[in-house]
Amino acid sequence: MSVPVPGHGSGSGAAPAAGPGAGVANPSAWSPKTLLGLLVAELRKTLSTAAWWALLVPAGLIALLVTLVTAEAAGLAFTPSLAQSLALGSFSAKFAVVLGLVCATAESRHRTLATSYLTAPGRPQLLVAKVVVAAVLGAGYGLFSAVFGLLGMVFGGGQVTGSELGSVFEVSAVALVVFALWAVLGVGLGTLVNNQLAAIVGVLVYLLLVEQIIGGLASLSNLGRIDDYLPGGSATASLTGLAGSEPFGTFGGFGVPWWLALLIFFGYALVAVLAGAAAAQRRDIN
Amino acid sequence: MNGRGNNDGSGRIVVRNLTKRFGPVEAVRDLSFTVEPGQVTGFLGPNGAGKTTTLRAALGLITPSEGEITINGIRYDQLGSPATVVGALLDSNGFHRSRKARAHLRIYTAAIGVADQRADEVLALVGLSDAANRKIGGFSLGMRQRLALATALLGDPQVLILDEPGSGLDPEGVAWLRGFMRSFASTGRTVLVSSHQLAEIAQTVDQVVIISQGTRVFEGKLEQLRGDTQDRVHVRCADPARLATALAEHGVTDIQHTPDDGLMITGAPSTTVGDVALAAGVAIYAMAQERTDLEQQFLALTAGQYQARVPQGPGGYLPPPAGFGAPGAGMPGFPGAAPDQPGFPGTAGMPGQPVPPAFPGQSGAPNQEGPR
Repeated sequence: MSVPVPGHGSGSGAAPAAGPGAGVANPSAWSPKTLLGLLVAELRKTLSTAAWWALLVPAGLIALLVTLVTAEAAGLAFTPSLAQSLALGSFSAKFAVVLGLVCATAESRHRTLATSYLTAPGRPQLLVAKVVVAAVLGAGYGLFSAVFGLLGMVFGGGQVTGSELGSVFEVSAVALVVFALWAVLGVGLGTLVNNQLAAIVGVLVYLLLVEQIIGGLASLSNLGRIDDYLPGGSATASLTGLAGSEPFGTFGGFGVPWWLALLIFFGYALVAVLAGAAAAQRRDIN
Repeated sequence: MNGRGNNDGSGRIVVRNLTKRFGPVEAVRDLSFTVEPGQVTGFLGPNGAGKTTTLRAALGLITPSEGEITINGIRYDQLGSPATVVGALLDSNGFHRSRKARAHLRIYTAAIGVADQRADEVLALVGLSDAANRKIGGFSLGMRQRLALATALLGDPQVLILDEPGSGLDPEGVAWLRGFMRSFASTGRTVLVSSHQLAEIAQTVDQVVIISQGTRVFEGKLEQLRGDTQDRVHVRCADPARLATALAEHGVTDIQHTPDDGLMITGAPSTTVGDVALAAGVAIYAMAQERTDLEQQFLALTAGQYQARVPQGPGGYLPPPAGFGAPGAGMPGFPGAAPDQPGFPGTAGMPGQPVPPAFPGQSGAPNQEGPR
C-alpha cells in the first residue's frame, strides 16, 4: 500500500534519503524479494566473520586424515566408501553442526539479534533465511570434506577404481545432504538454546560422549542398534549404511537402511528448527 | 497486508495501557502516552524506570503483558517492512566486533532491501566515512553510538526511536545529535528519545514523557513542567522565629528552619519576604531566591524510586552510595535533591512522597553550605 507521508522523504539536510515514500512501501512479509534480501543478509553475516572458514578448514583436514589413515591401515577391512562414510559422518560432519550453532547463537552473543529482528518483517522469516543459508553452507562443508576425503585416499595409496569409485561418490553425494541437515539442526538448536557456549558444548558432549555410551551399551545388550535412531547415529548410519558394511565388524547387524536413517535424521532437524522457531517467537529481546 | 488495521502513515506512536512483567517484577505498569510526528519527544526517567522496556515493546522485541503499542496505527510486527518505517538505536554494543563498519551496514541494507550504497551514505551522515573499513572492535563508545545511529537510518525511516543515544558521545557529538534530531523532526518525522538526564535533552525536546517505577508521572511540554513549580526563598535574618510568625500572618505558611539558623520559604517571592521582614522589624542578613529548576523538578517527580524500595529488605535495591542519584550531596545547585538520599534522617518519615514541594532544609542544608 502507499500512503503519503507529510514531509517524509528525500531531500532533508539531515538525512539524505534513499527515496521518497520508501517508508510506507509494504511488500508482503513473505514475498520472494523480502526473503531473498534476508538470505543475502544472512550470507553476508556469516561470510564477514572468520567462523565459517575456521570451521571449514579442520573439517576438510580431518576427513583427509581419516581416509589417509584407513587407507594405510591395511589390517582393517575398510573399503574406500566405508572410509569415506566414516571420515565424513563421524568426523567432518561435527563441524557442520557447530557452524549451524554458531550462525544461530552469534546474534545473541554479539547482541545483533535486536537489529536483525528490527530489519526483518518477522522472526519466522529470519529463521527461514538462517536455515536456508545454513543448509547451503552445510552442503558446501560436505563437498569440501568429501573432496579432502578423496584426496586422503589417493595420498594413502588406496585403490579407488571402478565400482568402488561410484560407491564413494554415492556416499559423498548423500553426505552433502547430511551435512546440510546437520547445519540446519544446529541453527534450530542454537535458536532454541540461544547461548553459544552452552549450545556448542552441550551438542558436542551429547554427540561425542552420550550417544557413544548409549551405542556401546546397546551393542552389548539385546536391544540391537537403537543408536541408529538417535540424531547422531541416524546421520552416521545414513552414510555407513550406504557404504554397505559395518566399520568394525558387526555388532548386531544393521539397525535401519540408509534411506530410513536419513529420513529419521531429517525428522530430528525439522523438530529442532520448529522448537527453535517456537522459542524465538516468544522470547523477549532485552 | 497482514493483521488488522492499516498503516495510516501518520508517524504517530501510541502507547496504550502498557504493562510488562518480568516474573515478579513489574517493569512497566499501565503506561499510556502518545508521541506526535513533527517534534522531538523526550522519554525521561531514572535508570530502571522502564524506559528501555517500553521502547523495546514498541519495537516488537518484548511482548507486553497487557496493553499494546502502535506505530502508524498498527503493531510493529504488522508493518511488513518495518525498518523503512521505524529506525531504532537501542544498544551501542550491538555489533560483531570483528566485522567492519561497512560490512555491518551492508548486512542490513540487504535485509531491509535498500541499495548497498546507502551504507556509505549513512556512514557519511554520522561522520564515520573514514572508519568504514575498520573493525568495529576498535571503535570507541562514541563511534559505536554513531554507527548504531547509522544503522537506524539505513531504511530512511519515518520514525526514529533512540534509547540513550547521547551516552558515550563527546560534547561535540552531543551537539551534533541535538541538531540532527531537530532537523529530522522538522521534516515532519517522529523522534522519540530516551534519557535519564533531563539536561541532556532539555534543549532539544518539544514534549516530554516522564516515567518513574514504570508509571507515567508527567506528560506535556517542558514549560508546563517548569510552570508548576513554586519559587523558594532562603533567608538568614536576626530573628527567624519572629519572621516566621510575621510571614504566617501574611498567609505564608510553608516555612522550614534551616540548620544555618535561616528559613526556607516556599510560595512567596523575595519581595514579599523582604516587605514582611521590614514591617516586622527583622534585620535581613542574606536572602536568595531559588528558581526551582527543571532538573530539580524532574528529580522530585522521580524521587520515589529509591525511597520506596529501600524498606523492602532482601530483594530490594540497595541504597545508592551518597552522591549517586542524589546530586544534592555533590553537585551545586540542587538543594532540593538532598532528601533523595535514602537513609537520610530527614526523609525516613516521608517515603515515596510523589510530588515536589520544597523539601525541608534541615537535613539537606549542611551539604549545601558550600555551593550556596
